[in-house]
Amino acid sequence: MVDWDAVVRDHGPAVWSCLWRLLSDRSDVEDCFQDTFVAALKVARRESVESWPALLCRLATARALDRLRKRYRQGGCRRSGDDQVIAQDRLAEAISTHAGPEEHAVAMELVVRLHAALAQLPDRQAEVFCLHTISDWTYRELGEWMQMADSAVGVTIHRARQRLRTLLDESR
Amino acid sequence: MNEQANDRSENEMPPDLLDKAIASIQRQTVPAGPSPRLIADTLAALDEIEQAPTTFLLLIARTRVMKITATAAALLLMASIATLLILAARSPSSAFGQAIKQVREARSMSYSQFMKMDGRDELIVTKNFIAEDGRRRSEQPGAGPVTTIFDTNGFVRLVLIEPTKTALVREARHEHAINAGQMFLEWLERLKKLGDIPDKELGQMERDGRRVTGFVATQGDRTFTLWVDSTTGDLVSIEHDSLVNDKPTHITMTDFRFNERLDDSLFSFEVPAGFRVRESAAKRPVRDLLGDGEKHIIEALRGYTKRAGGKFPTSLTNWGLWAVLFSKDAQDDVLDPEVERVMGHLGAILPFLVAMPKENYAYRGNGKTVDDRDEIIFWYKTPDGTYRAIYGDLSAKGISAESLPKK
Repeated sequence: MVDWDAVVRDHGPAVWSCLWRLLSDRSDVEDCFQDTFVAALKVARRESVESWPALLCRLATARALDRLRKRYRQGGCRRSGDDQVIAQDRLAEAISTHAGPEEHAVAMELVVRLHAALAQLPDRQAEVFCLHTISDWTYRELGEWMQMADSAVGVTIHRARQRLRTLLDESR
Repeated sequence: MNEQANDRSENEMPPDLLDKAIASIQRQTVPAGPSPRLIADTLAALDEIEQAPTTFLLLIARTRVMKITATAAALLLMASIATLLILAARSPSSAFGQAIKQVREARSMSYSQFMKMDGRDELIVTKNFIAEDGRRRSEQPGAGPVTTIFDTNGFVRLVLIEPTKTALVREARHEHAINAGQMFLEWLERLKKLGDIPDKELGQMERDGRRVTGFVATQGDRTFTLWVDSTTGDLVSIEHDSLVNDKPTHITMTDFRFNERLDDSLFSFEVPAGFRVRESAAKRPVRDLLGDGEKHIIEALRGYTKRAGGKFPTSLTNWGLWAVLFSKDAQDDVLDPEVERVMGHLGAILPFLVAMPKENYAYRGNGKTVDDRDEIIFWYKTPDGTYRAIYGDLSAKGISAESLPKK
């Protein structure tokens, strides 16, 4: 029997942080926060969970990426529309307060563009890239979790980076 | 542990837009959360799901069950037969066979290669092109790029180092000598010998947005994992393990293109305009290398026998034996100059040996000592067709073919 109270309170902050980095929007993060734990419950019903942090991080990443895809399908990839304006307002709060105005604006724009680019990657590629680059998973951890060889993880990340570079250049 | 530095190190380029975007995401200030309200709502949602019924029972008459079961079994049998007939033409093993056929029948080929050495996370990435006549071009991006062009026998003929606009030019070499280029493509020759039926099927998964089916097949001591597009039957990637610089390395090849028209200029040995030619040490005549090789063997063996009570080593190329012997002399992991000198000679032996066909030399020192003064410890065939031998007293002289020791 899982003590969900303990799981949510102990691991909630890490899930919150993971989601915020990928979404930067409070309402999206809150929705995905709940979805993440609901998905974890379904997993826990099927199998014994060895590592809650790893499971929750992966589920959170997948949900965040789904939400990005939905966001950019609705709002397009350009900086226009109410959804984008709201996202940018959130970003303005979130970006480091130590940055000067120009740095602030540049950082904000890069984050939005990277989110939009991530939404265009194939599902698995985006997930592997985010878990490695943003959540600091090692190749070995990714390989074990996703049942891929370390080298296959490396190739996937390499391809993701190539594609993201192209998308970022195209979105200038 | 963040390997982001290692990811970048594969290209060794300054931070680009992507790196800056990633850094921006990582530097974001995350507002405090989750709020107590969010936690409470989440727990409430989980509680609601846990309380919902998850099972139900369907009760039907037993006889009806038996009739349904019999009919279903008959239908299933017919469907199975039909399915098998249909799938026979599109069976997994035929997908594997198709993929191998693509490789076997390819006249030209290009692919991307990713090498990952054990213990290191960075990938060595190359783009490879193979012409119909066997010439090969290998491009390594990154701080480079560096482009290497191999001739039909697999020997390096031209290396272009982009950042310094430097070209290394190498002469053609004896086609029967062992060379790295041939070894590099050894996987291809083995793959072509695979049968049409794999040893094992790995099932389907998603890779880079494609649905792929995996197969495992072994040729000799090499095991290949092939991933084939489940829809089109196209070869998506090949994986296998090898030794690179004696390090276990996992190699992945992807982005295959078969029988594309590859411009001849890709494989030209001509130095492009704007490049300075730098003479490569490998341009030295083979005869020079062989002469040095004899000297290196004598000096290495002299050093070994001094420490081994006069005994010769079991092998000239098993450096482990030598390392064990010489490490006994090391104090605080520092080798004395004499040991370093001997090890230097030892290191020069391998290039000497690989420059010759295997049948042109033999080491016979195993089990012998310096007291076997008149015994041949090593012999080799020179480029002009004569033979030379090194004896137990570490002298060397020319010998006739008839004097060669019998195997």
